[in-house]
Amino acid sequence: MNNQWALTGPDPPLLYDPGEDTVVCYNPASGDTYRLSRPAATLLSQLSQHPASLDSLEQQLAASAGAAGSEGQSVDVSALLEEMEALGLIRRAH
Amino acid sequence: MAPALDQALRIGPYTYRIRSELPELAAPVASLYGTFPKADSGSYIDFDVSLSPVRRRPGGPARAIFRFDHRDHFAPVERRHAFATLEWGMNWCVSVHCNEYLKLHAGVVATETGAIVLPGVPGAGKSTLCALLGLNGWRVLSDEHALVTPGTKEVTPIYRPISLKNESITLIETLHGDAIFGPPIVDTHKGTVSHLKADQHPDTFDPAPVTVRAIVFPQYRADGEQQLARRSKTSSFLTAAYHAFNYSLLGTAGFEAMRTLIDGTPCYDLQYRDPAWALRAFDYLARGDADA
Repeated sequence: MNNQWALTGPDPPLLYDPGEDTVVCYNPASGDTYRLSRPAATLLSQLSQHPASLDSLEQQLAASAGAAGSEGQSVDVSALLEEMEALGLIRRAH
Repeated sequence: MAPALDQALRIGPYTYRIRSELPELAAPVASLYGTFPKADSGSYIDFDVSLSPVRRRPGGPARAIFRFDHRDHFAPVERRHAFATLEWGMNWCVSVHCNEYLKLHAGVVATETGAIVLPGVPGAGKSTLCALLGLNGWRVLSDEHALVTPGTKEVTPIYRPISLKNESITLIETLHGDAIFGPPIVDTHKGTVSHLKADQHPDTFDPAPVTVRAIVFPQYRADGEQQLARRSKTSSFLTAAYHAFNYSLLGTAGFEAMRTLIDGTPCYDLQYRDPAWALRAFDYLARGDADA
């Protein structure tokens, strides 16, 4: 079974994306602020719209990378999701 | 007995009432605050602060205590540290109140082209830079607090005498022999402290907010390379948030305020050891050359 992922809190994290390699993320549920890699921020934005499976998130990230002209860069989506889970930004929604 | 000191001053957007029975405070307050605008009779007092003598412990030194709104918030200090304690107490008033602003622990200086915010931990050299700039034609808005109005890039001036420590005092005295200092206060938890009168700019007491044109993270290094280098926005955001008194307290509003401040504002790291070099770097920033 492919796990579903969802935001931890009811309010989506706030992002500040100045167009650099990293993005600032504020989690209103915890009050914590983080610096995220661009792929992690993309995943978070996807999950801010609705819960999604690992397969779906991998496909969306690949499409996003293609649109940005950065296809070919290998991203371990599962590892990114687990890191954001550890930060309390997202959770597994079985 | 009438207090040796009792006056209400306009300091930035706030009114302080400063009272003390300690006669030794009258001279430094007159020297450093004598040009500050006086509050109108009957003005609302934001911060009612005082320094009062307290009972001496057997065999111990004379002591005094800082009070805010007639309440004790701190333990008594040695009376010889009374003026430094008054200054720290006045800083504390802003640091723990005033959440209508996003407050950064930062110096703020300005020319007619706008303000430059200097966030930094104690020892980074922000007060020294404020002193150097203030004695070289720049306007000092604060050496301690950047009061940023949320949703804007504007800082509200809150000038007070600049608190210099240890070698910085000697440096400024050497470079500017006519600078006006308060008394040197030795053996504090920060070493020797002395306060510099840096309100020579004609707009020092203008309360109007000033637009931020750059954010500079200073670092004094006695033997390091000197450089002014652009800094990423995400790094600047996080470091500025670290240096904020109330970013976390403001929650989502703090994030939004910081985003508005940082976005589109050039950010730099400044490493310096030579005051003349640092002044040239700031003139460069004021002219806008660094944006080219």
